Amino acid sequence: MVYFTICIPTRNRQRYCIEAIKAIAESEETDFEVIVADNSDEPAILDDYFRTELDDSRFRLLPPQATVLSMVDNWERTMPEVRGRWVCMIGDDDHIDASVLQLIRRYEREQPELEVVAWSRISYNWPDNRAIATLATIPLGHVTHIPDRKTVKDKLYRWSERESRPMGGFGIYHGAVRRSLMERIKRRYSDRYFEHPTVDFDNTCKVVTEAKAMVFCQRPFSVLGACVASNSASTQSFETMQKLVDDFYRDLGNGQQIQEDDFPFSPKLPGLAIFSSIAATTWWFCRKYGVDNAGFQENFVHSAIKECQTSRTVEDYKLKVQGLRLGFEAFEGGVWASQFNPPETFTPPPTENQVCGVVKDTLYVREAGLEKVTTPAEFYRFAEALLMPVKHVVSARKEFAA
Amino acid sequence: MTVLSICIPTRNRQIYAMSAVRHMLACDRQDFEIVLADNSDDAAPLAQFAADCNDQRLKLLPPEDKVLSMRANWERIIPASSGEWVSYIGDDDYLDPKLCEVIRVTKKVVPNVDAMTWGRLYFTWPDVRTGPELTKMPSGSHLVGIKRDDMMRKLFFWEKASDRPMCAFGVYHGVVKRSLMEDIRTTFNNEYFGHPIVDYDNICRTLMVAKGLVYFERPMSVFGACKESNTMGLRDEKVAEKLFSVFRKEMDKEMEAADFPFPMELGLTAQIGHVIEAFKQEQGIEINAWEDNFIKACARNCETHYSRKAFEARKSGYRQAIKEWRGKKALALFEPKFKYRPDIPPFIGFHNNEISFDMDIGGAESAAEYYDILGNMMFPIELLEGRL
Repeated sequence: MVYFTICIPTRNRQRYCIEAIKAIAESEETDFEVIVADNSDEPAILDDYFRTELDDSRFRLLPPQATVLSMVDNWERTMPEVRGRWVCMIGDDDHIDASVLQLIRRYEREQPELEVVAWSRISYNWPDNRAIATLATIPLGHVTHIPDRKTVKDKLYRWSERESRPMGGFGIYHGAVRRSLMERIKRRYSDRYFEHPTVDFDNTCKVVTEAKAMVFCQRPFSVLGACVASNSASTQSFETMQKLVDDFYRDLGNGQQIQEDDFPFSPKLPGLAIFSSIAATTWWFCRKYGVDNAGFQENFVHSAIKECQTSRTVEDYKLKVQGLRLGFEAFEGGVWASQFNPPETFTPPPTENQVCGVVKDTLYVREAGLEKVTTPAEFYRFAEALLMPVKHVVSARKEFAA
Repeated sequence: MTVLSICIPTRNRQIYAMSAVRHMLACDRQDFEIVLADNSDDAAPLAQFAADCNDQRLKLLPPEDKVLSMRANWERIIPASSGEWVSYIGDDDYLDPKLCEVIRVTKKVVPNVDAMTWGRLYFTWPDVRTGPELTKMPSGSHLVGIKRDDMMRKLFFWEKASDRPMCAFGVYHGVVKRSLMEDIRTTFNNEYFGHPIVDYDNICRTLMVAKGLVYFERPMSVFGACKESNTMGLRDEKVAEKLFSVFRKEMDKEMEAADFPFPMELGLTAQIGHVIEAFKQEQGIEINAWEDNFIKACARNCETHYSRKAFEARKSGYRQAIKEWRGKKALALFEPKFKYRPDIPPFIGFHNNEISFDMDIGGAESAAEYYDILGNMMFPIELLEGRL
């Protein structure tokens, strides 16, 4: 039994995965384990690395199975292997500071019922994923919040913020969930830990409904890396997104599908893979499990307009508008279609991803200018110069010198 | 046309000067020049360096037959420079040549601008750091027009001063139009710089003749502190004593103002006090009701000390000077408090439009590299015009 388990499901991105492992292995924390769930076509690379280079009992490798698993199944098979009291999933091109377990310990002492801990995340594009100008983000706060459950539910199930993404965060992906909660989720939801192909939001939807107590720390403890082969990379190009969607659908096989019958916003529509997948997930969850999401449709119309306005070019904008318009016409007999009125003309921002500096307590960094920084872990170490030291967050210190 | 002359007076710290110059010359702009005024004991290192650079944008003024005072070394640069604007930095500092673009854009919105300054960045070179050092970076990026009257009150009346007046319009880590420097020369004694403490002397003079002041919130330069720099004297008593005695030995003018019994060695506030007093006395300027603010600034100067011993020594020195200067009653305003609490950790993060962070960020090994790293977190100069 260890206190904290970090799971890294991976598929055919061994180079990034090995960097992630190396960086986490540098941690001096001892009360944690890392499970690497390899779903690659070539098992030898990680196997060799574990056998010949990585000499660290905190790490375990689950080799690929006979056939390629869908992402959700690869996540699913890690859970029975987890020995930690708390568990977290990160991507193979991400990074996490294992000292977050000290923070979880503190919160658990303060709230014995605690079942999910969320923290801010740093975002970072790997050097191979900068086809356009990119900015990394570093949230600069360090305060702890106990969220209001009703507000969180509104933001997640009803999309009440009307942004292009609903509120995420409270879940196993770049967050920590108590394993007992994961077991309860399995018992209550279709006898699986992870069910919907959009695994992160599947889990968040369930955790937000089920967790007895939740807490959020503004200080980031992990890095959402985006390498050229990652889902987030697809936001830079429609073509990349299309390829990833094709791969994603192929890997789903005969498993759980992204529902499209009563929610006709297909992730296959150009440029809408991420937006539609998340919406399809929260919609599916609320429908399947009878969770009240009244007001979602109206909010979602506004979110859809916002999503269009994140376009980089006029052509992208038109494609998104077209796709979403088709969706609204088919959705619930077209009753929401008249409210979907994105502006006729769209002017792409002239300075997309170029304005660095602080906006709303988040620092935007031109990562291409940091030549010595080449991985998410290196970027985290860079960012630590700007972040409240872990020991002060863990000790809940409130007094600082100016 | 040369828009900007970046003037770097240097003495026996060639490695630092070379680091800054090398980095500036890597900028592909052609509208600036660097004038390196070498006052070192050995002329060879910088002569060789300049030859190796082989760049028309670099002008080297070699050492003269005998060592010049700092003031004289500053003075000789302007006639040798050609930029429409002039800026001075120390040899262990850094300044971004993109300042040319900031000047161009500023002139569009404030046509009569003739003096600018900007947000501050500080960098202690790694070899002199004894542990982690925290510093601050302003996060703003606006061009702000400043009223001259407000600055007059801040400088000459020490209004809202910290341990120093909150006015930094001058050539040192600021930029001043050449025509303004010529106005200074013709208005005051046919010299660009009048007092051995050149930076504050220039601030006084600039403010008297400037017509348009603009403050750019975004930092454009770095104040460096290397082993031999004056800034290090602010941390170490012995270093301060040594530096000041060398400074006195090499200066070529009177430093102390008359009837102002504050020993220069007390600290920065006393020194700036002398510069401003000397300037006022020279120009026959008489003002009242600035003394209270100055006394409060003296208290803040004591409070900058981290050692109780140094704090008490300064406090006692300032007390004595204040008493002698304005009588015992004036001491009622002098209430320095020893505030340093090593048990309270410093804040890191974002507060009051400033980011507080560890100076070791990105492992910068020079002031130039440090500026480059922080440049990735500051508003891009290229976008300034588009935001007007």
